[in-house]
Amino acid sequence: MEDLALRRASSSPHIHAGRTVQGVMLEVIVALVPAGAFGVWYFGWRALLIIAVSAASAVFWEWLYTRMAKKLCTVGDLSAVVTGVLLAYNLPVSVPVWMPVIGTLLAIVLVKMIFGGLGSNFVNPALTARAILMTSWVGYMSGSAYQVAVRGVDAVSTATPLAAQESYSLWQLFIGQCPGCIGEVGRVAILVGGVYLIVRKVISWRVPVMMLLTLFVCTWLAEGSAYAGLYAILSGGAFLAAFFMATDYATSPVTPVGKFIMGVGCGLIAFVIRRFSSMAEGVSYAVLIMNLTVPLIDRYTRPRVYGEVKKRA
Amino acid sequence: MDLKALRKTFLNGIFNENPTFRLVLGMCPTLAITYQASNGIGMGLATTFVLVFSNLVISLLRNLIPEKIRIPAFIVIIATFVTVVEMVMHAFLPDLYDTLGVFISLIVVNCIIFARAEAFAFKNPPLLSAADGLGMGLGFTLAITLLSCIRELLGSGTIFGTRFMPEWFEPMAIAVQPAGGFILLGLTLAAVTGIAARSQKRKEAAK
Amino acid sequence: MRETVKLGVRLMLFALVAGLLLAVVNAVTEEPIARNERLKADGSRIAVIGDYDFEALQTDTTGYDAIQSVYAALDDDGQTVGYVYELSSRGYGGDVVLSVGIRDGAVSGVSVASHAETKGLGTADEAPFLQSFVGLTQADAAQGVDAMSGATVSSNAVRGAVSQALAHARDVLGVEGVE
Repeated sequence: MEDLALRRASSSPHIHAGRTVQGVMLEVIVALVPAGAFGVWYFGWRALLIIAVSAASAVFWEWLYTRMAKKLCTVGDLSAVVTGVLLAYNLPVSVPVWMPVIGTLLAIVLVKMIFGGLGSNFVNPALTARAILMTSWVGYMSGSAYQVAVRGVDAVSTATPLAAQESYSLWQLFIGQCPGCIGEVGRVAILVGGVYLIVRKVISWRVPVMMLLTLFVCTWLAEGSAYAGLYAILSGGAFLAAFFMATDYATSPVTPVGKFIMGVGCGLIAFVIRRFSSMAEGVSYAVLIMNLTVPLIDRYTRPRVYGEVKKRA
Repeated sequence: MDLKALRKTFLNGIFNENPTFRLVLGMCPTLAITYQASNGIGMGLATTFVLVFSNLVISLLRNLIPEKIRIPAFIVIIATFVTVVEMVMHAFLPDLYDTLGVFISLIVVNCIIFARAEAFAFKNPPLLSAADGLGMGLGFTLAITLLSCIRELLGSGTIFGTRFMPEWFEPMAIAVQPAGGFILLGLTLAAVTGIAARSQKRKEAAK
Repeated sequence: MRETVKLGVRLMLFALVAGLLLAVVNAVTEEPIARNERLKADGSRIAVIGDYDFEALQTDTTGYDAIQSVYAALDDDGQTVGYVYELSSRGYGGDVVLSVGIRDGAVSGVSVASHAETKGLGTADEAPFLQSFVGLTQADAAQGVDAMSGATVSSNAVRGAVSQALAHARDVLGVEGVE
């Protein structure tokens, strides 16, 4: 099935860049390790358990599906591992162990495999699974489920910084001394991983930068202080979503202009949800909504083929 | 009256042309009320009542209804029976009436009833039309009750109010919400289509 | 033109017959429907104060923004035995609609009719929480009742409403025993 947009992204001749799906996925996993390390550091060994269970069950579901549907086993491309890890990063550390198992079933089978496997999902698998888990088992996923475990000190159940305004300093948010999901608190680590991926040309800088910038500017204008803007992009899953969720290949636009639009859109919708709705966290739904608009964005940002003359209306 | 033709028409509505899973009609009530198994039965039987009688009356009057005004005439007939059902429910089944709420009135615009009136009752004799109405109605009832059982089981752990899931099962709230309804309807539709396709293939291989 | 008139008349005939049928069914079902509606409306009031007749009370509720309506509970002799307040208070996800019964100078019952809360109300925590209001005679005491765990905003909505009911009963209606 040809993707029309890809065919016109640039004309031939093309050269094989030597990349494989597996290679790309490996880079992403490497980039994700720092964030996970911070999570384990702050939340304890349980965080590692959740991450491990999530990755393992994601691989299991993909293996099981390809076996039952009599298709080629795609576990080797490591995309299931990435999905599993990303889902775990979006869960609070106190979730029961069966949650990532159900979550990865949803992410891998429902969102990815039955639509055709890698590259054929129309929404981000990990985020969709998170949204379904959030709606299905609210108690485990939000509010008092967030724990802070600052090294050596006992865990405290508290609301997420988004709901408990202004009680953490920017620095605390940045290095993760605040409540949140396993992978979203270590923002400095996410940044490091994200920059690594951008430098290695695995992802484009456009989506993450524009998303965070838009969220920052909107919050600044709404609240009247740059501090509020910074607080906004440093709280909740904004960093994680910007660098690792909004940049999923299958669900982000192909062209550079398209990527700009997606980034701005994500930031804008996240701002609107956080500000005007009773939900504390808006970035996951923002990315999901923008995922749905990607085919439209791709259609309208098609670059002109060299020599093409625009039809007169 | 040909008993075999009656039986064939009746069974058609339940299996071959099941309104929910094969014709994909009447999706509005299907998605809206199937969060509880008792709703499924209630809505299904109410719709069946309307289907049977509207099909019967429209078929009896098919030579008296001019082609040009057949649509308003259908609506008058269908709406009358829906109002009867609504009043009877309000009087004698108040709890079901409260639960189904506005969706009882919406039976009037349930595509199944209109489609069968137009495609079958208007062109066929009364007894056959009534059989079609009954088959379609019961097919619809079975389909939405099945979906309701699945949604209620996953979303509340119960079927018809009695707990079926083991103690440790934590209900998946999304199953009784609209988003889950869409997903589960899609999955059930996929399953039924798959089963039908497989039985079709087997029938053809046997030939 | 004649064609249109003919069609119109035909349709009118159908509508007439339909109307007749509906009139018959209506006559049969009118009474049971009325009975059911009354039971539904009074059901929540009966639940908080007991099986009495209820009469809407015209009373000044300025300053008590949660109070939607007040009913006097009348016994068989027409004597006012107590009052039922129907209140609406802002919760976490929307308005919490509840009824509070006041009899013999104390809260006789609290029941929640509808809410859009995500925790606390609608779970097993709700019943013991609402039960803890029964017997209260002081408006301020209502604010001090233990909240439902993890549902502070929802609990505040209920506590504020009960408090307003008691305060109104004390100040405007002059109910004895309420402080």
